Amino acid sequence: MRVRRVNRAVLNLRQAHRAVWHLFSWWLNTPTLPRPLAVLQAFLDRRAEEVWGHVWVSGRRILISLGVGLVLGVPLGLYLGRNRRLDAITAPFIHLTYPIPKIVFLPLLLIFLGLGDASRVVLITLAIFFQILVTTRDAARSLPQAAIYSIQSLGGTEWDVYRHVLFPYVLPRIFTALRISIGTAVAVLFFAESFATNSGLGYFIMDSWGRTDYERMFAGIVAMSLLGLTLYLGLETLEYWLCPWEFRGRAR
Amino acid sequence: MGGSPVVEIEDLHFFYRVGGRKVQVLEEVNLQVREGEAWAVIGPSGCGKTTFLYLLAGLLDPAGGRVAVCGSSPRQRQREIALILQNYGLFPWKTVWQNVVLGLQMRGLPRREQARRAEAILEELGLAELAQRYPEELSGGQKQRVAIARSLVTEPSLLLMDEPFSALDALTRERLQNFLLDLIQRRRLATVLVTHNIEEAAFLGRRIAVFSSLPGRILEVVDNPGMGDPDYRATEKFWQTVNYLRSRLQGQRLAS
Ligand SMILES: Nc1ncnc2c1ncn2[C@@H]1O[C@H](COP(=O)(O)OP(=O)(O)OP(=O)(O)O)[C@@H](O)[C@H]1O
Ligand SMILES: [Mg+2]
Repeated sequence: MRVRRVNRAVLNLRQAHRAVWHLFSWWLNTPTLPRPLAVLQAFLDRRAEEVWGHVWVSGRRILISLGVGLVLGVPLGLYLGRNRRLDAITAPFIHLTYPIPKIVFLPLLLIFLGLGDASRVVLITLAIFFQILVTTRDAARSLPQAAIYSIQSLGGTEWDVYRHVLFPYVLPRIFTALRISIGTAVAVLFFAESFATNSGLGYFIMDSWGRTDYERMFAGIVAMSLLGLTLYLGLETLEYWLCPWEFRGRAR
Repeated sequence: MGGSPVVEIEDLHFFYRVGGRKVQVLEEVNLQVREGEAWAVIGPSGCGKTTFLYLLAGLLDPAGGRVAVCGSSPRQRQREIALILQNYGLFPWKTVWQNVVLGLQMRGLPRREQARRAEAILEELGLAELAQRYPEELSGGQKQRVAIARSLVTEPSLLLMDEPFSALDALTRERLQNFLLDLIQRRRLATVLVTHNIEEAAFLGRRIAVFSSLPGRILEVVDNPGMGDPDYRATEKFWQTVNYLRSRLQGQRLAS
Protein backbone atom coordinates (compact mmCIF):
# COMPACT_ATOMS: atom_id res chain seq x y z
CA MET A 1 0.00 0.00 0.00
CA ARG A 2 1.14 3.44 -0.91
CA VAL A 3 0.48 5.11 2.42
CA ARG A 4 2.54 2.56 4.28
CA ARG A 5 5.38 2.91 1.81
CA VAL A 6 5.40 6.65 2.28
CA ASN A 7 5.36 6.11 6.04
CA ARG A 8 8.38 3.86 5.90
CA ALA A 9 10.27 6.22 3.61
CA VAL A 10 9.59 9.06 6.00
CA LEU A 11 10.80 6.99 8.97
CA ASN A 12 14.06 6.13 7.19
CA LEU A 13 14.50 9.75 6.33
CA ARG A 14 13.97 10.78 9.91
CA GLN A 15 16.47 8.22 11.18
CA ALA A 16 19.11 9.36 8.73
CA HIS A 17 18.36 12.94 9.58
CA ARG A 18 18.66 12.26 13.26
CA ALA A 19 22.02 10.55 12.82
CA VAL A 20 23.43 13.45 10.84
CA TRP A 21 22.07 15.87 13.34
CA HIS A 22 23.67 13.96 16.22
CA LEU A 23 27.04 14.01 14.52
CA PHE A 24 26.83 17.69 13.81
CA SER A 25 25.85 18.70 17.29
CA TRP A 26 28.58 16.50 18.76
CA TRP A 27 31.11 18.01 16.50
CA LEU A 28 30.05 21.63 16.82
CA ASN A 29 29.27 21.22 20.48
CA THR A 30 27.13 24.33 20.55
CA PRO A 31 23.81 24.85 22.33
CA THR A 32 22.33 26.29 19.08
CA LEU A 33 22.11 22.71 17.84
CA PRO A 34 20.96 20.66 20.81
CA ARG A 35 21.13 16.89 20.63
CA PRO A 36 18.01 15.13 19.37
CA LEU A 37 17.56 13.43 22.72
CA ALA A 38 17.42 16.79 24.41
CA VAL A 39 14.93 18.05 21.85
CA LEU A 40 12.87 14.92 22.24
CA GLN A 41 12.97 15.44 25.95
CA ALA A 42 11.88 19.01 25.56
CA PHE A 43 9.18 17.85 23.22
CA LEU A 44 7.79 15.31 25.66
CA ASP A 45 8.70 17.21 28.76
CA ARG A 46 6.18 18.53 31.18
CA ARG A 47 7.67 21.94 30.47
CA ALA A 48 6.90 21.46 26.79
CA GLU A 49 3.35 20.43 27.35
CA GLU A 50 2.62 23.93 26.12
CA VAL A 51 3.81 22.84 22.65
CA TRP A 52 0.67 20.82 22.26
CA GLY A 53 -1.49 23.83 22.90
CA HIS A 54 0.28 25.66 20.11
CA VAL A 55 0.11 22.64 17.79
CA TRP A 56 -3.62 22.63 18.28
CA VAL A 57 -3.95 26.37 17.56
CA SER A 58 -1.83 26.13 14.41
CA GLY A 59 -3.46 22.92 13.25
CA ARG A 60 -6.89 24.47 13.64
CA ARG A 61 -5.84 27.56 11.67
CA ILE A 62 -4.54 25.45 8.80
CA LEU A 63 -7.52 23.12 8.75
CA ILE A 64 -9.99 25.98 8.70
CA SER A 65 -8.03 27.68 5.93
CA LEU A 66 -7.90 24.51 3.86
CA GLY A 67 -11.60 23.96 4.45
CA VAL A 68 -12.58 27.49 3.45
CA GLY A 69 -10.19 27.42 0.50
CA LEU A 70 -11.78 24.19 -0.72
CA VAL A 71 -15.36 25.25 -0.15
CA LEU A 72 -14.78 28.47 -2.11
CA GLY A 73 -12.22 27.35 -4.65
CA VAL A 74 -13.59 24.02 -5.82
CA PRO A 75 -17.17 24.99 -6.75
CA LEU A 76 -16.01 28.24 -8.33
CA GLY A 77 -13.28 26.41 -10.25
CA LEU A 78 -15.75 23.78 -11.48
CA TYR A 79 -18.22 26.45 -12.53
CA LEU A 80 -15.63 28.51 -14.40
CA GLY A 81 -14.26 25.41 -16.10
CA ARG A 82 -17.72 24.56 -17.36
CA ASN A 83 -18.81 28.06 -18.44
CA ARG A 84 -16.62 29.37 -21.21
CA ARG A 85 -18.04 32.87 -21.21
CA LEU A 86 -17.67 33.59 -17.50
CA ASP A 87 -14.27 31.94 -17.62
CA ALA A 88 -13.16 34.34 -20.35
CA ILE A 89 -14.38 37.31 -18.31
CA THR A 90 -12.70 36.28 -15.05
CA ALA A 91 -9.49 34.82 -16.48
CA PRO A 92 -7.61 38.17 -16.75
CA PHE A 93 -8.49 39.04 -13.16
CA ILE A 94 -7.28 35.66 -11.91
CA HIS A 95 -4.15 35.94 -14.03
CA LEU A 96 -3.30 39.27 -12.42
CA THR A 97 -4.02 38.31 -8.83
CA TYR A 98 -2.62 34.79 -8.86
CA PRO A 99 1.08 35.76 -8.84
CA ILE A 100 0.79 38.40 -6.09
CA PRO A 101 2.47 37.04 -2.95
CA LYS A 102 -0.47 37.04 -0.57
CA ILE A 103 1.66 37.36 2.57
CA VAL A 104 2.18 41.06 1.90
CA PHE A 105 -1.41 41.59 3.02
CA LEU A 106 -0.67 40.57 6.59
CA PRO A 107 -0.39 44.16 7.90
CA LEU A 108 -3.65 45.12 6.22
CA LEU A 109 -5.43 42.06 7.56
CA LEU A 110 -4.12 42.72 11.05
CA ILE A 111 -5.52 46.25 10.84
CA PHE A 112 -8.90 45.26 9.46
CA LEU A 113 -9.51 41.93 11.14
CA GLY A 114 -7.66 42.44 14.39
CA LEU A 115 -4.92 40.40 16.01
CA GLY A 116 -6.94 37.23 16.57
CA ASP A 117 -7.35 34.05 14.55
CA ALA A 118 -9.35 35.64 11.74
CA SER A 119 -6.56 37.68 10.16
CA ARG A 120 -4.19 34.70 10.11
CA VAL A 121 -6.77 32.26 8.79
CA VAL A 122 -7.74 34.70 6.04
CA LEU A 123 -4.10 35.15 5.04
CA ILE A 124 -3.52 31.40 4.68
CA THR A 125 -6.84 31.01 2.89
CA LEU A 126 -5.92 33.75 0.43
CA ALA A 127 -2.63 32.06 -0.30
CA ILE A 128 -4.10 28.63 -1.04
CA PHE A 129 -7.46 29.66 -2.49
CA PHE A 130 -5.94 30.70 -5.80
CA GLN A 131 -3.92 27.51 -6.09
CA ILE A 132 -7.05 25.43 -5.58
CA LEU A 133 -9.16 27.64 -7.84
CA VAL A 134 -6.72 27.63 -10.75
CA THR A 135 -6.01 23.90 -10.57
CA THR A 136 -9.69 23.04 -10.36
CA ARG A 137 -10.63 25.37 -13.19
CA ASP A 138 -7.91 24.10 -15.50
CA ALA A 139 -8.80 20.49 -14.76
CA ALA A 140 -12.50 21.16 -15.33
CA ARG A 141 -11.73 22.85 -18.64
CA SER A 142 -10.03 19.70 -19.88
CA LEU A 143 -13.05 17.45 -19.39
CA PRO A 144 -13.67 15.71 -22.76
CA GLN A 145 -16.94 16.61 -24.47
CA ALA A 146 -17.62 12.89 -24.92
CA ALA A 147 -17.96 12.48 -21.14
CA ILE A 148 -20.62 15.19 -21.06
CA TYR A 149 -22.47 13.62 -23.97
CA SER A 150 -22.24 10.30 -22.20
CA ILE A 151 -24.03 11.49 -19.06
CA GLN A 152 -26.54 13.61 -20.99
CA SER A 153 -27.49 10.67 -23.16
CA LEU A 154 -28.19 8.70 -19.99
CA GLY A 155 -30.74 11.35 -19.07
CA GLY A 156 -28.48 13.42 -16.82
CA THR A 157 -29.24 17.03 -15.93
CA GLU A 158 -26.68 19.81 -15.51
CA TRP A 159 -26.47 18.94 -11.82
CA ASP A 160 -25.72 15.31 -12.75
CA VAL A 161 -22.90 16.53 -14.99
CA TYR A 162 -21.30 18.22 -11.98
CA ARG A 163 -21.98 15.42 -9.56
CA HIS A 164 -21.25 12.31 -11.60
CA VAL A 165 -18.72 13.57 -14.14
CA LEU A 166 -17.02 16.89 -13.51
CA PHE A 167 -16.35 16.53 -9.79
CA PRO A 168 -14.97 12.96 -9.83
CA TYR A 169 -12.97 13.80 -12.95
CA VAL A 170 -11.33 16.75 -11.21
CA LEU A 171 -10.98 15.24 -7.72
CA PRO A 172 -7.55 13.58 -8.12
CA ARG A 173 -6.18 16.88 -9.36
CA ILE A 174 -7.66 18.72 -6.41
CA PHE A 175 -5.63 16.38 -4.23
CA THR A 176 -2.51 17.31 -6.14
CA ALA A 177 -3.33 20.97 -5.62
CA LEU A 178 -3.86 20.33 -1.91
CA ARG A 179 -0.50 18.62 -1.55
CA ILE A 180 1.16 21.72 -2.93
CA SER A 181 -1.11 23.95 -0.87
CA ILE A 182 -0.10 22.28 2.37
CA GLY A 183 3.50 23.35 1.85
CA THR A 184 2.33 26.88 1.13
CA ALA A 185 -0.09 26.85 4.04
CA VAL A 186 2.53 25.81 6.61
CA ALA A 187 4.97 28.45 5.32
CA VAL A 188 2.36 31.19 5.42
CA LEU A 189 1.21 29.98 8.82
CA PHE A 190 4.71 30.38 10.22
CA PHE A 191 4.90 33.88 8.85
CA ALA A 192 1.44 34.85 10.02
CA GLU A 193 2.13 33.61 13.53
CA SER A 194 5.41 35.41 14.00
CA PHE A 195 3.77 38.83 14.41
CA ALA A 196 1.58 40.31 17.07
CA THR A 197 0.29 37.12 18.63
CA ASN A 198 1.00 34.82 21.55
CA SER A 199 -0.29 31.58 20.20
CA GLY A 200 0.58 29.12 17.47
CA LEU A 201 3.77 27.30 16.56
CA GLY A 202 5.19 30.27 14.68
CA TYR A 203 4.97 32.34 17.83
CA PHE A 204 6.32 29.47 19.92
CA ILE A 205 9.39 29.09 17.74
CA MET A 206 10.12 32.80 17.51
CA ASP A 207 9.52 33.24 21.23
CA SER A 208 11.91 30.40 22.11
CA TRP A 209 14.45 31.85 19.76
CA GLY A 210 14.13 35.22 21.50
CA ARG A 211 14.73 33.56 24.85
CA THR A 212 17.62 31.55 23.36
CA ASP A 213 15.94 28.41 24.64
CA TYR A 214 17.08 26.28 21.72
CA GLU A 215 15.68 23.01 22.97
CA ARG A 216 12.28 24.60 23.17
CA MET A 217 12.79 26.18 19.76
CA PHE A 218 13.64 22.85 18.13
CA ALA A 219 10.71 21.24 19.85
CA GLY A 220 8.60 23.84 18.03
CA ILE A 221 10.30 23.15 14.73
CA VAL A 222 9.80 19.41 15.10
CA ALA A 223 6.14 20.00 15.99
CA MET A 224 5.68 22.15 12.91
CA SER A 225 7.26 19.52 10.68
CA LEU A 226 5.08 16.87 12.24
CA LEU A 227 2.04 19.03 11.61
CA GLY A 228 2.92 19.27 7.91
CA LEU A 229 3.64 15.56 7.75
CA THR A 230 0.39 14.63 9.45
CA LEU A 231 -1.60 16.79 7.04
CA TYR A 232 0.23 15.24 4.13
CA LEU A 233 -0.40 11.67 5.27
CA GLY A 234 -3.99 12.59 6.06
CA LEU A 235 -4.40 13.73 2.46
CA GLU A 236 -2.87 10.54 1.09
CA THR A 237 -5.28 8.48 3.15
CA LEU A 238 -8.24 10.61 2.16
CA GLU A 239 -7.36 10.30 -1.50
CA TYR A 240 -7.06 6.56 -1.13
CA TRP A 241 -10.60 6.45 0.23
CA LEU A 242 -12.19 9.01 -2.06
CA CYS A 243 -10.49 8.09 -5.34
CA PRO A 244 -10.17 4.30 -5.17
CA TRP A 245 -10.18 4.03 -8.97
CA GLU A 246 -6.87 5.90 -9.04
CA PHE A 247 -5.20 3.06 -7.19
CA ARG A 248 -6.75 0.17 -9.12
CA GLY A 249 -6.59 -1.28 -12.59
CA ARG A 250 -3.01 -0.29 -13.12
CA ALA A 251 -0.07 -2.61 -12.99
CA ARG A 252 2.19 -1.34 -10.26
CA MET B 1 -42.70 -4.61 -40.55
CA GLY B 2 -45.38 -2.16 -39.46
CA GLY B 3 -45.41 -0.51 -36.05
CA SER B 4 -45.59 3.19 -35.29
CA PRO B 5 -42.61 5.40 -36.14
CA VAL B 6 -40.12 5.87 -33.30
CA VAL B 7 -37.88 8.23 -35.22
CA GLU B 8 -39.04 10.70 -37.85
CA ILE B 9 -36.49 12.79 -39.67
CA GLU B 10 -37.60 15.32 -42.25
CA ASP B 11 -35.29 17.39 -44.38
CA LEU B 12 -32.59 17.48 -41.71
CA HIS B 13 -29.74 19.97 -42.16
CA PHE B 14 -26.77 20.58 -39.95
CA PHE B 15 -23.50 22.52 -40.05
CA TYR B 16 -20.59 23.14 -37.70
CA ARG B 17 -19.00 26.53 -37.37
CA VAL B 18 -15.26 26.30 -37.74
CA GLY B 19 -13.41 29.58 -37.25
CA GLY B 20 -16.44 31.64 -38.28
CA ARG B 21 -16.99 29.52 -41.39
CA LYS B 22 -19.93 27.18 -41.82
CA VAL B 23 -19.11 23.59 -42.67
CA GLN B 24 -22.20 21.86 -43.98
CA VAL B 25 -22.27 18.34 -42.55
CA LEU B 26 -25.75 16.95 -43.23
CA GLU B 27 -28.09 17.83 -46.05
CA GLU B 28 -31.69 16.86 -46.78
CA VAL B 29 -31.72 13.75 -44.66
CA ASN B 30 -35.10 11.99 -44.55
CA LEU B 31 -35.63 8.81 -42.62
CA GLN B 32 -38.17 6.91 -40.52
CA VAL B 33 -37.41 4.22 -37.99
CA ARG B 34 -40.35 2.10 -36.93
CA GLU B 35 -40.85 0.16 -33.75
CA GLY B 36 -38.65 -2.94 -33.68
CA GLU B 37 -36.77 -1.87 -36.77
CA ALA B 38 -32.98 -2.03 -36.97
CA TRP B 39 -31.19 0.50 -39.16
CA ALA B 40 -27.55 0.57 -40.05
CA VAL B 41 -25.94 3.78 -41.24
CA ILE B 42 -22.82 3.43 -43.31
CA GLY B 43 -20.71 6.00 -45.10
CA PRO B 44 -17.18 7.25 -45.70
CA SER B 45 -15.13 8.57 -42.79
CA GLY B 46 -15.98 12.13 -41.79
CA CYS B 47 -19.31 12.21 -43.64
CA GLY B 48 -21.31 13.10 -40.54
CA LYS B 49 -22.46 9.76 -39.09
CA THR B 50 -21.52 10.56 -35.52
CA THR B 51 -23.06 14.01 -35.88
CA PHE B 52 -26.22 12.35 -37.17
CA LEU B 53 -26.45 10.21 -34.03
CA TYR B 54 -25.85 13.22 -31.77
CA LEU B 55 -28.78 14.93 -33.48
CA LEU B 56 -30.97 11.88 -32.92
CA ALA B 57 -29.89 11.72 -29.29
CA GLY B 58 -30.73 15.38 -28.70
CA LEU B 59 -27.14 16.32 -27.91
CA LEU B 60 -27.06 18.73 -30.86
CA ASP B 61 -29.94 20.70 -32.38
CA PRO B 62 -30.72 20.65 -36.11
CA ALA B 63 -29.94 23.74 -38.17
CA GLY B 64 -32.94 22.98 -40.33
CA GLY B 65 -35.67 20.40 -40.71
CA ARG B 66 -37.17 18.26 -38.02
CA VAL B 67 -36.13 15.36 -35.83
CA ALA B 68 -38.75 13.67 -33.67
CA VAL B 69 -38.45 10.71 -31.34
CA CYS B 70 -41.77 9.22 -30.25
CA GLY B 71 -43.43 12.37 -31.54
CA SER B 72 -41.38 14.97 -29.62
CA SER B 73 -37.98 16.57 -29.88
CA PRO B 74 -35.13 14.28 -28.81
CA ARG B 75 -34.15 16.63 -25.99
CA GLN B 76 -37.53 16.02 -24.41
CA ARG B 77 -37.29 12.29 -24.99
CA GLN B 78 -33.75 11.90 -23.76
CA ARG B 79 -34.80 9.39 -21.14
CA GLU B 80 -36.24 7.07 -23.78
CA ILE B 81 -33.11 7.18 -25.90
CA ALA B 82 -29.96 5.21 -25.20
CA LEU B 83 -26.72 6.15 -26.91
CA ILE B 84 -23.55 4.09 -26.93
CA LEU B 85 -20.63 6.31 -27.85
CA GLN B 86 -17.74 5.39 -30.09
CA ASN B 87 -15.35 4.80 -27.15
CA TYR B 88 -18.03 3.27 -24.85
CA GLY B 89 -18.34 6.40 -22.67
CA LEU B 90 -17.94 4.50 -19.39
CA PHE B 91 -16.84 6.55 -16.40
CA PRO B 92 -13.47 5.37 -15.06
CA TRP B 93 -14.35 6.60 -11.56
CA LYS B 94 -17.38 4.35 -11.30
CA THR B 95 -17.41 0.59 -10.92
CA VAL B 96 -19.28 -1.56 -13.43
CA TRP B 97 -22.20 -1.63 -11.02
CA GLN B 98 -22.19 2.14 -10.48
CA ASN B 99 -21.97 2.73 -14.23
CA VAL B 100 -24.90 0.43 -14.93
CA VAL B 101 -27.07 1.83 -12.17
CA LEU B 102 -26.40 5.47 -13.07
CA GLY B 103 -29.28 6.00 -15.49
CA LEU B 104 -31.75 4.55 -13.00
CA GLN B 105 -30.30 6.58 -10.17
CA MET B 106 -30.73 9.79 -12.16
CA ARG B 107 -34.32 8.84 -12.89
CA GLY B 108 -34.92 8.63 -9.17
CA LEU B 109 -35.83 4.94 -9.03
CA PRO B 110 -35.89 3.37 -5.58
CA ARG B 111 -32.63 1.67 -4.66
CA ARG B 112 -34.23 -1.73 -4.47
CA GLU B 113 -35.61 -1.43 -7.99
CA GLN B 114 -32.26 -0.17 -9.26
CA ALA B 115 -30.54 -3.22 -7.80
CA ARG B 116 -33.14 -5.62 -9.16
CA ARG B 117 -32.82 -4.32 -12.71
CA ALA B 118 -29.05 -3.99 -12.62
CA GLU B 119 -28.65 -7.54 -11.33
CA ALA B 120 -30.92 -8.88 -14.06
CA ILE B 121 -29.12 -7.12 -16.89
CA LEU B 122 -25.63 -7.95 -15.59
CA GLU B 123 -26.69 -11.57 -15.36
CA GLU B 124 -28.10 -11.48 -18.88
CA LEU B 125 -24.90 -10.04 -20.33
CA GLY B 126 -22.65 -12.35 -18.34
CA LEU B 127 -21.16 -9.52 -16.29
CA ALA B 128 -22.32 -10.48 -12.81
CA GLU B 129 -18.82 -11.42 -11.66
CA LEU B 130 -17.34 -8.13 -12.84
CA ALA B 131 -19.74 -5.84 -11.02
CA GLN B 132 -17.20 -4.46 -8.55
CA ARG B 133 -14.45 -3.82 -11.12
CA TYR B 134 -13.51 -0.46 -12.55
CA PRO B 135 -13.63 -0.05 -16.36
CA GLU B 136 -9.84 0.03 -16.55
CA GLU B 137 -9.83 -3.48 -15.17
CA LEU B 138 -11.88 -4.85 -18.09
CA SER B 139 -11.10 -6.09 -21.59
CA GLY B 140 -12.45 -4.23 -24.62
CA GLY B 141 -15.28 -6.71 -25.16
CA GLN B 142 -16.26 -6.57 -21.50
CA LYS B 143 -16.32 -2.78 -21.57
CA GLN B 144 -18.55 -2.91 -24.61
CA ARG B 145 -20.97 -5.27 -22.85
CA VAL B 146 -21.04 -2.96 -19.83
CA ALA B 147 -21.88 -0.07 -22.13
CA ILE B 148 -24.73 -2.10 -23.61
CA ALA B 149 -25.95 -3.10 -20.16
CA ARG B 150 -25.87 0.51 -19.01
CA SER B 151 -27.98 1.59 -21.99
CA LEU B 152 -30.51 -1.21 -21.89
CA VAL B 153 -31.12 -1.18 -18.15
CA THR B 154 -33.22 1.98 -18.52
CA GLU B 155 -35.47 0.16 -21.00
CA PRO B 156 -35.21 2.70 -23.80
CA SER B 157 -37.47 2.89 -26.86
CA LEU B 158 -34.56 3.75 -29.12
CA LEU B 159 -31.02 2.44 -29.11
CA LEU B 160 -28.32 4.44 -30.88
CA MET B 161 -24.84 3.02 -31.34
CA ASP B 162 -21.72 4.60 -32.79
CA GLU B 163 -19.28 2.02 -34.18
CA PRO B 164 -19.93 -0.21 -31.21
CA PHE B 165 -17.53 -3.01 -32.09
CA SER B 166 -14.83 -1.30 -34.12
CA ALA B 167 -12.16 -1.60 -31.43
CA LEU B 168 -12.60 -5.35 -30.99
CA ASP B 169 -10.86 -8.32 -32.57
CA ALA B 170 -12.78 -10.16 -35.32
CA LEU B 171 -13.86 -13.07 -33.15
CA THR B 172 -15.12 -11.02 -30.25
CA ARG B 173 -16.83 -8.69 -32.68
CA GLU B 174 -18.82 -11.51 -34.30
CA ARG B 175 -19.77 -12.93 -30.94
CA LEU B 176 -21.03 -9.56 -29.74
CA GLN B 177 -22.84 -8.91 -33.02
CA ASN B 178 -24.77 -12.17 -32.57
CA PHE B 179 -25.45 -11.23 -29.01
CA LEU B 180 -26.72 -7.77 -29.94
CA LEU B 181 -28.89 -9.19 -32.72
CA ASP B 182 -30.54 -11.50 -30.21
CA LEU B 183 -31.04 -8.66 -27.72
CA ILE B 184 -32.68 -6.22 -30.09
CA GLN B 185 -34.87 -8.89 -31.63
CA ARG B 186 -36.14 -10.10 -28.28
CA ARG B 187 -36.84 -6.55 -27.12
CA ARG B 188 -38.17 -5.40 -30.47
CA LEU B 189 -35.97 -2.37 -30.01
CA ALA B 190 -35.79 0.39 -32.60
CA THR B 191 -32.08 0.66 -33.34
CA VAL B 192 -29.80 2.93 -35.33
CA LEU B 193 -26.27 1.59 -35.64
CA VAL B 194 -23.51 3.63 -37.21
CA THR B 195 -20.60 1.67 -38.59
CA HIS B 196 -17.98 1.72 -41.28
CA ASN B 197 -17.77 -2.03 -41.25
CA ILE B 198 -19.78 -3.16 -44.27
CA GLU B 199 -20.34 -6.70 -43.00
CA GLU B 200 -21.58 -5.37 -39.70
CA ALA B 201 -24.10 -3.18 -41.50
CA ALA B 202 -25.29 -6.13 -43.57
CA PHE B 203 -25.54 -8.42 -40.56
CA LEU B 204 -27.38 -6.07 -38.18
CA GLY B 205 -29.30 -3.65 -40.42
CA ARG B 206 -32.74 -4.54 -41.64
CA ARG B 207 -32.41 -1.35 -43.61
CA ILE B 208 -29.09 0.17 -44.47
CA ALA B 209 -28.74 3.89 -45.15
CA VAL B 210 -25.72 4.64 -47.32
CA PHE B 211 -24.40 8.15 -46.72
CA SER B 212 -22.49 10.18 -49.26
CA SER B 213 -19.21 11.88 -48.41
CA LEU B 214 -19.32 15.35 -46.83
CA PRO B 215 -21.87 16.92 -46.73
CA GLY B 216 -23.64 13.69 -45.82
CA ARG B 217 -26.83 12.87 -47.69
CA ILE B 218 -28.60 9.56 -47.91
CA LEU B 219 -27.53 8.11 -51.26
CA GLU B 220 -29.65 5.05 -51.00
CA VAL B 221 -31.57 2.92 -48.53
CA VAL B 222 -30.78 -0.75 -49.05
CA ASP B 223 -33.41 -3.22 -47.98
CA ASN B 224 -31.97 -6.30 -46.29
CA PRO B 225 -34.85 -8.71 -45.63
CA GLY B 226 -32.56 -11.71 -45.18
CA MET B 227 -31.03 -10.48 -41.93
CA GLY B 228 -32.12 -11.68 -38.51
CA ASP B 229 -30.64 -15.16 -38.58
CA PRO B 230 -27.36 -15.68 -36.71
CA ASP B 231 -26.15 -17.83 -39.61
CA TYR B 232 -26.90 -15.14 -42.18
CA ARG B 233 -23.17 -14.49 -42.67
CA ALA B 234 -22.79 -17.88 -44.38
CA THR B 235 -25.43 -17.22 -47.02
CA GLU B 236 -25.18 -16.10 -50.64
CA LYS B 237 -27.64 -13.30 -49.99
CA PHE B 238 -25.44 -11.81 -47.26
CA TRP B 239 -22.41 -11.58 -49.55
CA GLN B 240 -24.50 -10.12 -52.34
CA THR B 241 -25.60 -7.36 -49.99
CA VAL B 242 -22.05 -6.80 -48.77
CA ASN B 243 -20.72 -6.56 -52.31
CA TYR B 244 -23.46 -4.24 -53.35
CA LEU B 245 -22.79 -1.92 -50.39
CA ARG B 246 -19.09 -1.97 -51.13
CA SER B 247 -19.65 -0.95 -54.74
CA ARG B 248 -21.91 1.91 -53.61
CA LEU B 249 -19.32 3.15 -51.13
CA GLN B 250 -16.34 2.87 -53.43
CA GLY B 251 -17.66 5.67 -55.57
CA GLN B 252 -17.32 8.07 -52.59
CA ARG B 253 -14.44 10.40 -51.86
CA LEU B 254 -12.98 10.66 -48.38
CA ALA B 255 -13.88 13.87 -46.58
CA SER B 256 -10.93 16.23 -46.66
N1 LIG C 1 -17.11 19.73 -33.04
C1 LIG C 1 -16.87 19.89 -34.36
N2 LIG C 1 -16.59 21.11 -34.85
C2 LIG C 1 -16.35 21.30 -36.16
N3 LIG C 1 -16.36 20.33 -37.08
C3 LIG C 1 -16.63 19.08 -36.67
C4 LIG C 1 -16.89 18.80 -35.29
N4 LIG C 1 -17.13 17.48 -35.17
C5 LIG C 1 -17.01 16.98 -36.40
N5 LIG C 1 -16.72 17.92 -37.32
C6 LIG C 1 -16.57 17.74 -38.77
O1 LIG C 1 -17.82 17.31 -39.27
C7 LIG C 1 -17.69 16.23 -40.16
C8 LIG C 1 -18.51 15.03 -39.68
O2 LIG C 1 -17.94 14.52 -38.49
P1 LIG C 1 -18.47 13.17 -37.84
O3 LIG C 1 -17.70 12.94 -36.62
O4 LIG C 1 -19.94 13.25 -37.74
O5 LIG C 1 -18.05 12.12 -38.99
P2 LIG C 1 -18.19 10.53 -38.99
O6 LIG C 1 -18.97 10.18 -40.19
O7 LIG C 1 -18.68 10.03 -37.69
O8 LIG C 1 -16.68 10.10 -39.21
P3 LIG C 1 -15.95 8.73 -38.72
O9 LIG C 1 -16.50 7.64 -39.59
O10 LIG C 1 -14.52 8.99 -39.04
O11 LIG C 1 -16.23 8.57 -37.28
C9 LIG C 1 -16.21 15.92 -40.25
O12 LIG C 1 -15.75 16.38 -41.48
C10 LIG C 1 -15.57 16.65 -39.10
O13 LIG C 1 -14.34 17.19 -39.50
MG1 LIG D 1 -17.81 8.87 -36.11
